[in-house]
Amino acid sequence: MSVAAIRRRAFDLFKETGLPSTRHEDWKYTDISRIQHVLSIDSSSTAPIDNHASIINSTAIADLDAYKAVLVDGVFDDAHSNLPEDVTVLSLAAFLNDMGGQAPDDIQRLFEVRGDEPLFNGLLALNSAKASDGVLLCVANNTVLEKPLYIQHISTQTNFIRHAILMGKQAEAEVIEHYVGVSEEKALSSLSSNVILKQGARLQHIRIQQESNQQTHIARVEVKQLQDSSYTLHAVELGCALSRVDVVVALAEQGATCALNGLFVLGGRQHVDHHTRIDHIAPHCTSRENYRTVLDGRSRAVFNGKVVVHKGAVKTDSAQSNGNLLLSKHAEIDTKPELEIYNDDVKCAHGATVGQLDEQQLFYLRSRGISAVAAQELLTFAFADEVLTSMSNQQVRAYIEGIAFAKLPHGAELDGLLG
Amino acid sequence: MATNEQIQKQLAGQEYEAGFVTDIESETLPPGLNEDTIRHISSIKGEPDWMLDWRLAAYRHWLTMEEPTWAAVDYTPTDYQSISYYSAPKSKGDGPGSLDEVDPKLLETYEKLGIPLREQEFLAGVTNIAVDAVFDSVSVATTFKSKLTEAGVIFCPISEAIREHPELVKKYLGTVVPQQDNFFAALNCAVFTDGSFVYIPKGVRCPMELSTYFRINALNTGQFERTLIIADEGAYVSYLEGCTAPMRDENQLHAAVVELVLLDDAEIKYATVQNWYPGDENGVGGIYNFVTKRAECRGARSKVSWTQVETGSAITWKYPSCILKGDDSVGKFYSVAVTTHCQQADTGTKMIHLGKNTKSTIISKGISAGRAQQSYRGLVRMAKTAENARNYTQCDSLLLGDACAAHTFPYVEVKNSTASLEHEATTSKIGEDQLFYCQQRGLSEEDAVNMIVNGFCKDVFDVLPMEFAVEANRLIEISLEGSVG
Amino acid sequence: MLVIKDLHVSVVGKEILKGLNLTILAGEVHAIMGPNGAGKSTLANVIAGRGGYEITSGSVTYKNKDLLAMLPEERAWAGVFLAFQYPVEIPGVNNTYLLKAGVNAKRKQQDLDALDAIDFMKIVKEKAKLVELDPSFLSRSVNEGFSGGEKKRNEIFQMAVLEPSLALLDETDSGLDIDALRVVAKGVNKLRGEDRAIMMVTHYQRLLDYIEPDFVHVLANGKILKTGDKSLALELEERGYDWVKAEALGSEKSV
Repeated sequence: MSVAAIRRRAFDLFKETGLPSTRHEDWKYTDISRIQHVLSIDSSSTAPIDNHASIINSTAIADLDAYKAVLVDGVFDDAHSNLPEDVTVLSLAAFLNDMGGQAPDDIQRLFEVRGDEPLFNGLLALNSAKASDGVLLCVANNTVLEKPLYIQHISTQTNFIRHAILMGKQAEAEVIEHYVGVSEEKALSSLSSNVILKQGARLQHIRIQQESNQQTHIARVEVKQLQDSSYTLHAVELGCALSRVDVVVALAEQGATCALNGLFVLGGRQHVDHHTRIDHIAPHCTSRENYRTVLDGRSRAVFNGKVVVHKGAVKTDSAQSNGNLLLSKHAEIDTKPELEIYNDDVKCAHGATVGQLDEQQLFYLRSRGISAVAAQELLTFAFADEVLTSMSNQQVRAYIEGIAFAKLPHGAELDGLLG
Repeated sequence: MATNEQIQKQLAGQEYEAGFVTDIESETLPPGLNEDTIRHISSIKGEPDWMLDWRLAAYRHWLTMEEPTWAAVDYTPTDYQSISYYSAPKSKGDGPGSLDEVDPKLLETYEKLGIPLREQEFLAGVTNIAVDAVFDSVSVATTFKSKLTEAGVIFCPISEAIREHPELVKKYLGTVVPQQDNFFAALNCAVFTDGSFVYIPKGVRCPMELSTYFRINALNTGQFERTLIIADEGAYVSYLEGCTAPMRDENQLHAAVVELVLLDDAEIKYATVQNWYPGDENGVGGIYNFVTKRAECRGARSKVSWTQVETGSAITWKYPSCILKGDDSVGKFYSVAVTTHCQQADTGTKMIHLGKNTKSTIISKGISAGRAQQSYRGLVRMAKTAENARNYTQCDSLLLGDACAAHTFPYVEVKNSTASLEHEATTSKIGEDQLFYCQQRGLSEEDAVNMIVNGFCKDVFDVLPMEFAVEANRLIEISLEGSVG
Repeated sequence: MLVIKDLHVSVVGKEILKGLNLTILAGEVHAIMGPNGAGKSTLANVIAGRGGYEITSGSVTYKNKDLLAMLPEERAWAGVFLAFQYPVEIPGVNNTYLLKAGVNAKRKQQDLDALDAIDFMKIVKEKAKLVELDPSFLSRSVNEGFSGGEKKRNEIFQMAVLEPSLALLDETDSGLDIDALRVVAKGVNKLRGEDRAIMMVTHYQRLLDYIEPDFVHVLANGKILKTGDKSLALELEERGYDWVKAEALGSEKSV
């Protein structure tokens, strides 16, 4: 079947299923009816933005030592990209074009949507049907990508993007997806990233969502891991009016390890919902999950972390923790850490907390001469920053800390304290 | 060394001790459910019109509802037209009078179950419990009535309360679990036959533990019990509930509703040992236990606790809940659930925090063995109004054998920034190193398993009333009894 | 008391003990020393009957009975006690209760009446004093929240209560400060007697200053390579294990 035919079928599937509604258990706390009218706008007729070179420069993580792929409104921007020569990084659209629509099976499969995937919803089918471009990263067996790959997304209007990351045996890479929105329109960014890690492959994956506060961001990260592979995700949510990310990881062969880290720093009326699902299919796999939210204003966060241990997945080791800090009276959190276990030889734990800052710690800081407000900010920051301690890229970490910091109520006063 | 196989074999040896049938003459309504069935039940009970109207309203609403399917249980749906909605042992009078009027066969039944109904046995000294015994659809005996009356406590079958204390029943019935609440509750509202009614007046500390013992005996009969307990301002009561049924190949339905109302400074401790027939090792027979239990802490500083030991039933669908409306009110839920063979249980609790400074604690311990399926399903909701609300949740699952399953579905919804909540959950199997350690100290494998399981459940057993703690321990041991290797 | 002949043991296909021979007579104290991974703990665990070890050949006879055919609890009843290298935590299970169940299970095997709570507590209190165990530990869950030293002390306390014929101490000294070591040694020495034997697995000569062994064995490469008296331990402390291995290799070659 051609890619075009797969996409047509995906579109039929979307027409059949439509957008998920709050009556659906997985969408109970997140209402996306607001994007209905966005979808009806034909974005292809909108003129591309001017001066995008300056936007690219002003929104990028400064001085990052990395390869760079830039997408503007869902279209690969060759001129501003800087791709490695020895490893395959391409525009997905260009690749399909070159192949005359008859892509190899591996690539075709990336567009397939059956409708029975975990956390499937109509938007996933729509993404397959409408994706205009994306980054295709193939790291060959026993190859290490020397520098991180920084994928910068600029969105000014509704766009559909599909990324694919194929990691060969013992391959290693770091990928940073940075979503920057400059639109004051209620545009939608629809993303789908497919990740496959072959035996012993290792991937550090960072997602920074920093789109404008009118936009809606709906993404899915699907990861399949083979033997002894290792996948680490840091998903950071800072922007958007509404963001929903589904992370679906299949630990398909033994010895695979995944670590999902999430940080939401929200204010205003922002609404962020992450649904994660980890399937322990093979024995001796390990999963770790650490999500933290800091909520101010009237923001609302939803976290649903599901771990399924299948029959035969013996010696599963899974731990999950979710901490939530409510800074304002009107902020809201809904969390649901779920375990589904069909096997007795497992060690699974999860924990969730909702609360305020520790009085004793506050007192301790104040007794050392730090003002009450500063002490609160400091502890809030420390609470959030804990998620980032596992991030190896210090440049990216510092960038996120800076942005997150600025979002805190009295962030500016604290700059000096942290040095 | 212990293997899963051995543990499973050990568990497979479980025997159900309460599985006998009492041969007693009964009056039973023919199977089927329509408005006439309801009129009939209402007239047998000699109910006033308002009660009948209330039932009919519930029935009409029930007809528009669908049986819920969201629970993680799988069973052949009940044919609601094939069961009988009323069965009562033939008796001389109407409702329990003095014990002399009770059929000796019934007294024997309860004695066999270890529930003495003869007051003198208590007076001889061991315990201090008043018992209401419900056999199929009717209450057959209530003990210690006079002593309770002296204290101003009303403890009687609910059918009697409807006749004798209509003002109280009218005021509170259906105010915690409304007729439209859910499919099984609506059905219960329409056809409930008996259950207990308790009213503890202002400032009264109930002088003894109250207990209701439910027994399903008749074939093809559903039991629809309804219990209503009201603790007025400053009142206190501790209430125990036990349940058994004969071993039969057919599934039988038990759809109960329990409502607890607590006014200012009131306290209710409600404990259940649920040991309905669980079905045989192949999953044939057993009780479908679909229960709605809810407490409403209306008054400030009121306290309620649900403690349950669930070892029976083929299917359990049960979420004893607390609505913490009064400021400073406290809700607690302690649960031990054991599922073996083909049992399925979907159980947990809801803590709805509405008032200021409300506190809740959830301790749930699930043990799953054989091919059993068990889920913890819970909700902790802290509303905008719940300033300084606190919750602590701990739910642990212990797995025995590689064919069983355990799931955890905790919902947490917090809409108040001053609230704090802590949720912890673990799932593990009995560690082989723990078993070996105990064996190395000279314990047989069976004793080691028992000891570890009991240790696992300790937090819950510690809060059970004495009488039930012993019973619970014994029940779990029976569940885990059998031979090793 | 204990006779081990040509014992071969594997763990997940890897041979750990490769034809080990050892005889321990009543009244004797044996120290087993050797480099890391030599199979010292394996030996202790196999004698106590822990799972996960595959005995491919050889025999272990205890008081003229085939020990390998017995369940772990049967071995315990017959007087085999293992002080664990890593004592296991059992939440919710009371320390005293575990011991009482163990003691009475053993008494039942010997056709003795079960001890009642009062008699039992008397013994327990006396033994707790012996190992200077804080009485509050008696009512706590087995090893839960104990420090490393407390766990080891609790092991010796349990040994004192259970009064075994053959005590296997698996690195009971590691992680102990000198005071704790003295207390542990006191408990062990108290147990020494005509009809009892002790096998200590240790890395360090230090323990042997307090519990004087009759024999010191070097376990390496899955075998007892050398046996001597207490002076051997001192020599090992000074020279390490390589010379023993070399010596053994030499003697093998010369044979």
